Amino acid sequence: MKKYIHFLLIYFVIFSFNIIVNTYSKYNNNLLINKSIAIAKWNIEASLPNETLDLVSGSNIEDYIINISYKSEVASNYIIKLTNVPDEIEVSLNNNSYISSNNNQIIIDVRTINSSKEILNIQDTLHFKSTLATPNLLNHPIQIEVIFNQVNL
Amino acid sequence: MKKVLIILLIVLSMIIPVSYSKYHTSFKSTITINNRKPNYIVKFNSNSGIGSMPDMNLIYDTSYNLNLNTFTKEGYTFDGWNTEQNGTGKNYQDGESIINLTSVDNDTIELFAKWKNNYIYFQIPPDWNSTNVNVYLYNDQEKIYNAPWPGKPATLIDYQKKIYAYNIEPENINKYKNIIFTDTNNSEISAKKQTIDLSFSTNNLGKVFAPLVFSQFNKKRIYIFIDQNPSIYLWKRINNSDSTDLNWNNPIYINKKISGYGYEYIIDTQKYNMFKLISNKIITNDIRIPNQQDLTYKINKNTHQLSRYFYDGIWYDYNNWINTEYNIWMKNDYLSFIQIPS
Repeated sequence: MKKYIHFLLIYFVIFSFNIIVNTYSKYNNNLLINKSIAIAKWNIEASLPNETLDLVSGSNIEDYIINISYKSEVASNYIIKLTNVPDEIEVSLNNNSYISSNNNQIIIDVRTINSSKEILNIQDTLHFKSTLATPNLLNHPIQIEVIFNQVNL
Repeated sequence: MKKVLIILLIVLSMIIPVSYSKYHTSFKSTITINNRKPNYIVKFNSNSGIGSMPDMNLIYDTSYNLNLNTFTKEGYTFDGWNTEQNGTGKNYQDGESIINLTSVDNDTIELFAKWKNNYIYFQIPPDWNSTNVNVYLYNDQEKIYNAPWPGKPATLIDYQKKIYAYNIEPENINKYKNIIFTDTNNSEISAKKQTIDLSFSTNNLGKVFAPLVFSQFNKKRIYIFIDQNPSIYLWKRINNSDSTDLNWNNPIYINKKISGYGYEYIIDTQKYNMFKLISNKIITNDIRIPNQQDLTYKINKNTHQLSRYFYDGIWYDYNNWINTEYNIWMKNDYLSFIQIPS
């Protein structure tokens, strides 16, 4: 009986260690990639410049370019999340337009990217436009977050 | 066996949690938005005038007053702005309050000065011999004698075609609607006059007007002061010695009462040169319509014959003149409104 308890203790120690490693790895891409015990290779980098867009109401469209380097052995959901978006700002991607909801958020479920052993260079352009004729926004920050989630298998 | 079981448990404990975990990563940044109203520029074009005016740098959704005009053009009066050079666009007054002339950022709106020609060019009738023509401005065609007196002389600019030019003071372009010009060789203002609508000059942006045609000049206004409602018979006599009369069977009824017992009729003097009045009480003798001059006839109420006439300041009596007459005034003051050539 003592032997079985001993085995169970060893099992739970190792199991707990694994949980900690994997939980942390969700927020650290490289840690998971370099972890020798990971099943999938997961190497994603995104270039999101801090950029100032000068919008003129009713007339111009300013572009914001997202560059992604993608290599993964699992498929991923690619999501763009914008927060603190004013009502008068319209964002469009791939001919779809979005305006902020009540909580000033825009969440764009861009697409699913299949697994790839080679590095894919992906570029997407967000188009920002002001829809109202009279706003005056100066140095208004919009937070942009590009999210990749493994597709459920 | 136990060792195998231990190793199996260790391997499973490492694989199973990893297999059920999900990959997740995100990248964050900040986009700064500067959202402003469109800017645009208003430029002023003198449109063949002289002078210069600075541009106006304006912001969308903000009211401004247009800068006051400083352009000038000799012989012309500034008449506001237009978005098209030929005046077919949108009009703006001098100093008008404007807002949002465009919504396009960095757009330039050009406003062209509109100019009224201060000169009216007109051609006098071919039978006028005078080289002196006076011009009278007035508003109401029925009150021609309210015209300022004396009129201002017009300038003869084409002797053969008898074309005159008259400079209208800028303040009078909008003040008066019509113009009369008379031959100053005639003693009466009503002797020969024509009218033209001044408004045509406001449609013009500097063109020289084509010579005007007096298409209706050969008409005469006849006032008959009589206490009856006679028919008027009109016809044409070829000449005085010839009794050939045309259009005799063509009575025309006077239909416009002008005062207590007077009637008015306008006669085309190219078609008719003779008339007589016929009612159940009177039949006048044949009366010749004078060619150009004003003439006043008096008709004996008893005999219904011509008793005297007034011409060129002198009364001429017929034999049967008595001091009881009907009056007939014939005046060359038919107001002919000239069609402006397009």
